[in-house]
Amino acid sequence: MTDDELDPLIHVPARLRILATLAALHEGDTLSFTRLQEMIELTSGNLITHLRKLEDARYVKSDKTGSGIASRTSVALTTRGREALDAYARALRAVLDGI
Amino acid sequence: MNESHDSTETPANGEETLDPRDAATLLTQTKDKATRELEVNSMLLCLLGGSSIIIGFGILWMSVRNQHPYQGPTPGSIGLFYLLILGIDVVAIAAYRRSSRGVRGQRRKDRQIIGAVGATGLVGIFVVMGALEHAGVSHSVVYGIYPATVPLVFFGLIGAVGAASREDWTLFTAALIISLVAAGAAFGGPAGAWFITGLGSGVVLFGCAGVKLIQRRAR
Repeated sequence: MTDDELDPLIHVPARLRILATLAALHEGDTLSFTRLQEMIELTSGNLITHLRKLEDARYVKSDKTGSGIASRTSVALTTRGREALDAYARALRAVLDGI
Repeated sequence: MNESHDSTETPANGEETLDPRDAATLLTQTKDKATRELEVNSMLLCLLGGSSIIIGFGILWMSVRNQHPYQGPTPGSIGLFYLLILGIDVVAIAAYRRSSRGVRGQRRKDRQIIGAVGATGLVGIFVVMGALEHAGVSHSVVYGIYPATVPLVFFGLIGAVGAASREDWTLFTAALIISLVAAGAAFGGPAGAWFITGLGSGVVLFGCAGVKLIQRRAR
């Protein structure tokens, strides 16, 4: 197996950290945008950009409640995202075994 | 995606791909860090709970062990006991709040339901204790066997349900054993019940902490 077979969407430091952090949540739980940002230490602009890419691939889903200053955005890993991360981890092991 | 705090978009950094070894390290480290931050340190809570139970029940047992006839724990020992329970409650609630900040979903609802059931059960336990006293049941039962065993039978079961909802099977097993130990302690008599429940539950919680330490090191 080669590096090319690693999911390019996940094989980027920021997005890998986002998915690995969300994977630590229990199924059905969501994490607030603010807490996620604190945990992975990205600026909100960068986090939004990476989350959009992951959302476009349906690896994560976000939900906004409330409006204005009281708004709250929650983020969660989708089943598809969890499977993609598992597949990425398996692919990564295979690549490392081949080195 | 909209976020009220700062929605200024800047070009995403970190678009560079990773060396597979670095990626594996980053994946493991991030998962471990996230798990540590999102989960309560149940090993430390077991150690704290075990110590508190042994000390608290020990204080109560010391105050009743030479009573003939049995009268029940002294007000001073009860005060110390509740102070200890209050202390561990504050620590546990702070730990749960810190870990669950920003987390929503079924687990949070489960915790609220378990909290409501626990609080109702605690009130029920004291109401029944009052009813036993009112019915003229002896002090050995009302201020000995009953309070030394029934609360931990109940909270052992509540703890088991909470642990099962988090799929923490080590804590689930420990909680069930505590419930059984407390039930069995009822045969120890009014003073013995305090001793058996306190020591037995404390040892079980220390054992739980030990198993969790082994599990953590094996990861």
